[in-house]
Amino acid sequence: MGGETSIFTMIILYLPFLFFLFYGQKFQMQMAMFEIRGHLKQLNKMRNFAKNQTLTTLSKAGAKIEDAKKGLELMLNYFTILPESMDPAGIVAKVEHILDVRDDKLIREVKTLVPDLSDPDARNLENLVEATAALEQIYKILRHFFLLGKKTGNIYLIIQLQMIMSLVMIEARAYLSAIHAFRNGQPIGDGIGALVALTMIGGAETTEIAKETAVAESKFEGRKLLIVKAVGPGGNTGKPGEAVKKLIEKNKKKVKLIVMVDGALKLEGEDLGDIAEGVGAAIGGIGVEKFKIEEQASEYQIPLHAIIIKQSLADAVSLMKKELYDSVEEVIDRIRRIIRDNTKKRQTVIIAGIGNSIGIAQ
Amino acid sequence: MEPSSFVNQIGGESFIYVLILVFVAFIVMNFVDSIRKGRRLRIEPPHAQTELVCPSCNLKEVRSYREGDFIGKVSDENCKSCDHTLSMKGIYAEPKKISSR
Ligand SMILES: [Zn+2]
Repeated sequence: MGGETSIFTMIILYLPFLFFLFYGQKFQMQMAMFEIRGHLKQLNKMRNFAKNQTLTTLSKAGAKIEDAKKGLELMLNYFTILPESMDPAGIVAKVEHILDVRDDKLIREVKTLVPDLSDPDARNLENLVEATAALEQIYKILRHFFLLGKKTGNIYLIIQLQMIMSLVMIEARAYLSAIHAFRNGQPIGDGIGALVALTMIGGAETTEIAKETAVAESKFEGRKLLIVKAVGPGGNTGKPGEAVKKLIEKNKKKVKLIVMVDGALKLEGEDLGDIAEGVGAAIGGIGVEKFKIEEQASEYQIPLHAIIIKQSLADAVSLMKKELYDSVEEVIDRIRRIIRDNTKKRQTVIIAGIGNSIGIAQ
Repeated sequence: MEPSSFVNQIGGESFIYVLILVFVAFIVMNFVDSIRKGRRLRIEPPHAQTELVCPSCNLKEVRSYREGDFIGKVSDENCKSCDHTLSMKGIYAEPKKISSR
């Protein structure tokens, strides 16, 4: 060894350096694209699995496979145009109307495919279609940005996609785990509010006060309790806002407290089934029901208390976990304490169990 | 072999080859890892359980979930101690056993 190492060694030493200097970005982009392609493949598998499960469920319920395929394709691509918000006065009623129309349309579509389907089963099938549609949307949007980045050679588009990919995959896996629960009509984590309401109703008679929403009357230490939950065991969230509005109008001046119970997204590191208390309307969704409850509460000056039960997105849309089920007793204890602290005897309290009532009757 | 001659050998051309080898190995490992990640897709459903309660004697019974079960349903099964019909109080995923992984 000695002098003759020079040129050969020099080339080998400097070549990678020059390569990364001029082609580093291209190389990084190729690596990112390789990773994204893997995730996209997985997403594609997920959406195909969801579609197959939905088709099997439809044909098992009695739909012809050809009709089921066509119907599913139609429902997966069904879009909703939300009202114009340039002049926001009165927009809540408009949003509600559009969403009602969408809801009716999807249910009717399911019932066209399977005419002799019971209401709860039709609801569950509609939920299954919605979970499938979520996976379809996620796949299509990511594929769009991937192809766009590839086409334009835009590394920043690709890198941004790579950055959000792991978070998107968590969401996609959550919807995938939802497929099983919706297919079998099993209660999901989001139904914890409905389960608390059912446990408090404890066999009392219920009446349907608003569309797909039931109310039951109960007594607690001299107070009258009006317990609201979505009608089950079909999968739907009902119209708790409308129900609370009607109950307040019916029991004018007597309602002195509203307690809302709902599942809420936990932070990473928090425990599943943790309970937290607060004030305000604990209800998700697009905001129509939330608006109605807040409006009524402020008009009649009724204190609005909330209890949330923490869970991840995957917990919320898949079969209820034991930890959530075990939290029900403590939630009820806390509701009772809030009632004792905030009301006197002979006053009326509204308790709203918010959430999807799939697999939870009344 | 004296230590100094060993250092000389490492410090020479072979050092560059080792460096290139490590670099290639790293890339290969990375690719294999991401391919494996792409294939891993767990879609087995969780094991569901139904909790039944006797309304008259409060006896609790847990069994595997059966199609058609829902919370609040009055089951056609009877209580083992007093023969009252059971009602379904809960349906939940079987808690995960702590795995060694
Ligand atoms: Zn019994």
